[in-house]
Amino acid sequence: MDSTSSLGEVDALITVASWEERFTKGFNNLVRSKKPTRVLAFYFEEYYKWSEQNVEGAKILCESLGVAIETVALSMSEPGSTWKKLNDWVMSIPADTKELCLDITTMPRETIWELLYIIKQRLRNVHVTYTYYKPGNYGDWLSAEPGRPRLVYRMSGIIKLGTPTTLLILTGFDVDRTKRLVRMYEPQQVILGLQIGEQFGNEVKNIKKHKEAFTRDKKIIMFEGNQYDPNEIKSKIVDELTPFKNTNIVLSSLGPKPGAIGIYKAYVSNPELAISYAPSGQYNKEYSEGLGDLFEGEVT
Amino acid sequence: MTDYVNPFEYEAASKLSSSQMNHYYIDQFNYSRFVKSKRNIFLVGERGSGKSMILMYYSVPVSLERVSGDAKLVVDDGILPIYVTCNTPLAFKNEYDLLEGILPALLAEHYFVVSMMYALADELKMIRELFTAAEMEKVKHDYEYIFDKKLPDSEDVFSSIQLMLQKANVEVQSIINRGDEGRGLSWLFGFNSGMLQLMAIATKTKALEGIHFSLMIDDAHLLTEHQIRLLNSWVSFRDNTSFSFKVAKTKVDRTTAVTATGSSILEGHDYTEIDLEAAYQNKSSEFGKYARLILEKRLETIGLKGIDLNKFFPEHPQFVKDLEKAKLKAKKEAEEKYSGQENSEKKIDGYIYKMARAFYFRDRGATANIPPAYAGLETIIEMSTGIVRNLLHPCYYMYENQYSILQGKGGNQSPLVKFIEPKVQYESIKKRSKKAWVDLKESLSLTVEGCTMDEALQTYQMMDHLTNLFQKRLLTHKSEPRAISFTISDTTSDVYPTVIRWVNIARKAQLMYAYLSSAKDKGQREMYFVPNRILCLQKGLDPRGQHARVSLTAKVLFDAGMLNKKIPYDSEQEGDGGLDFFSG
Repeated sequence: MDSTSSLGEVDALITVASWEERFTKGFNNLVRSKKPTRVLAFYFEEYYKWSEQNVEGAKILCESLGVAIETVALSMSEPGSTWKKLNDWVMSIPADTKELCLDITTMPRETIWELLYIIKQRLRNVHVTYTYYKPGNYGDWLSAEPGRPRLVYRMSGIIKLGTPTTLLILTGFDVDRTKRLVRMYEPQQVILGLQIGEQFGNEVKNIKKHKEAFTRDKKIIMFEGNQYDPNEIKSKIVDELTPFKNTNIVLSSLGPKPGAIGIYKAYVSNPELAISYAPSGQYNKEYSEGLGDLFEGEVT
Repeated sequence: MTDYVNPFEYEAASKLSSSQMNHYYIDQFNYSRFVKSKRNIFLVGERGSGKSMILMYYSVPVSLERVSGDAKLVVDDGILPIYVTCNTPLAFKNEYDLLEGILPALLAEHYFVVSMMYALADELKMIRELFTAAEMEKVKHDYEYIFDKKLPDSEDVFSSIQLMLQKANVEVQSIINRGDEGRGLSWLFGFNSGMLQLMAIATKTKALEGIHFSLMIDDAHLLTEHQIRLLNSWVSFRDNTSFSFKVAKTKVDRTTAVTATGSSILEGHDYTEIDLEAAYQNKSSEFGKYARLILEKRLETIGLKGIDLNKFFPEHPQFVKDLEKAKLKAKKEAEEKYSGQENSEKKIDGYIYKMARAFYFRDRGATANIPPAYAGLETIIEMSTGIVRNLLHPCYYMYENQYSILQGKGGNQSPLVKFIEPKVQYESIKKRSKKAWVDLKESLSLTVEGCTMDEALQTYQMMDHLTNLFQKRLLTHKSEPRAISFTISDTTSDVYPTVIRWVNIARKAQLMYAYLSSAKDKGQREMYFVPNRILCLQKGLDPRGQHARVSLTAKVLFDAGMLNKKIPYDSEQEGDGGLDFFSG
């Protein structure tokens, strides 16, 4: 993997502008390589004081390249209003749009899932791809101040009455967020998907910590997989869930961002699955530094 | 290892089998008089205080197991408890945010009511032997007539009703998930149009004629605002002839008392509130006895019936010796102070009670390496701070460790644990105490919903200074050295809301508990607070508190939290008096 896109050009690029360095560097690469005619850059108003410079930078870059860019403010604290804005924007996409790319590098998972849901509902003939840039490195801490986990709008599954719950989480570096989801849903069965590899101290910060934290629950199932490959992780999710197909199933992703695409693909294969988002009220201003490898692929 | 059973399993009640529940449950406080009553009852208590256990114990499946499957005995008191849990992903659906007009309210009611109806049908199915074939046919007929839906064939009418409810619920969710609600939702159930009708159909059978339905709503704090308002509306129906609600919810997440129509429900008027933790703080200090019964019952599961708990959880012999010495020292001092005075005997006993344990801790020093005090049955019970799960949790790990030690020593793969060595007890308590402090210092903003990083730090600083104050008192206070609870005096101060916010953060993390008690002023009730006593070990505190509460102003607590400032201390100052929690 390197930082240059090998997939083709697109009609529209959708991104969420954050304050991270990898947003600006990655966006620059993508606009030049994918040559979209239209860019939509969302940003979250709660962090606009940090991301303003990057939002403005994106505008300047697009204008200099003759790409139409629209910026839209979203709110983390008003998910209903955010959904409506995403929906309105998708509805405004011209009917002749054929290729759409989601840059999920700094896009919250909830936004990824909601956008993909709305696009699937409204734009049935559009080919959707995603791009994701790893950072060069992560900060000392990533997020804090957890909000109450919530089911994603319209992707809240088909919940059967009198039926136990299975919770499958693709874990990340924050064991407390994993525990919080378990505590919230009190599932009969927990399945943890652990990312493989040594990147960013993964073996200690993720695998070892989760194994230690959940050692008491003898029933817990842990599986390993590569969350940077959504197709692989989707297959593993489907396999792991097969024995629990008669339970209510909730999925969540806290690990590498492309895992969220894997979760979405699992959902598309069975819309009775529910997807849960675990929000945070605070992010580290030094969340990451630098620009790492690019991961990209097809969503639909 | 296949037969290995840890008797101190502390999982949530929902993870226990009916037989485990029947074996473990102890009706020490006679909660049956509330659950099996026709009154609306709100059971409040923090996680692990036993709310779900109480409700589930009286549910039909657990009751049936208790009476060897004889359904008649389940309803012979004229009350049929229906257990409804709110902790299901259905309760977390939130598409209401996207809907307009009256639809959000109708949908919220539907999800709640359809769960209740399903639970009712489920429990009726379990007692179907009470109904004749003709009655079942009549139930089918009435259901189809009232709901205008033909029931599918199934093993019995209640299974058919469940299938129908399942289908209705799936259809509603599918429409909402597709965003097709604009085309109409025809299968929405309301309390009046659904639940009341189903209850009415059931009461037309001979066995359930005149039955009272006790609708047990567990984890009600998880309901949406609209669902809570609806529940309050139903609670406010004053006629409790045919049904009443038993609602379990956490104390710290207070839910609204407002009804769907904007009025309010009142405690005493519309419902009776039972504080599960306050029950443990009464004058007769029932929790100590209750905790012993729990531990005895648990040990029965590994064949240790009738065991002396003090022998199973022995104190460290050195502690027993040193405490005796400390008692003699206190007695000597007391006699020097009070001999010859009026009521000298009582004064001497009082002094020994107050000071002996303090002398023990002073003489061994707060930082001594071997803390033999943190073992023994009494200590384990004190450390629980009145929460059942806090009692079982360290015992679970002590048992695990002792079991492993015995396996290693004798080579026996299934050894019988006859007692837990004091050192093993101490190590388990120490580990928990250390973790509690790490959680307090590092994890509040990661684990408590809505807690900011600043608030997490401030809460830690307040708790740190508070326990430092208790430490100073233990080492130097003249009359009430072992006070480890407190009240906040200036409740009208500007900084009081901030301090209460920190206190509630600690409560949500289960590192602090709050109780209502009588204040010095007669007739007044006041809130007092007790840090989770598992925090004591790391600060060298005596987990066994005394009859005293330290009165602190909101200002000093605010300064401790906000400015990281020590809480002023006067070694002569008296506390508020109060109750000993666990003696007895």
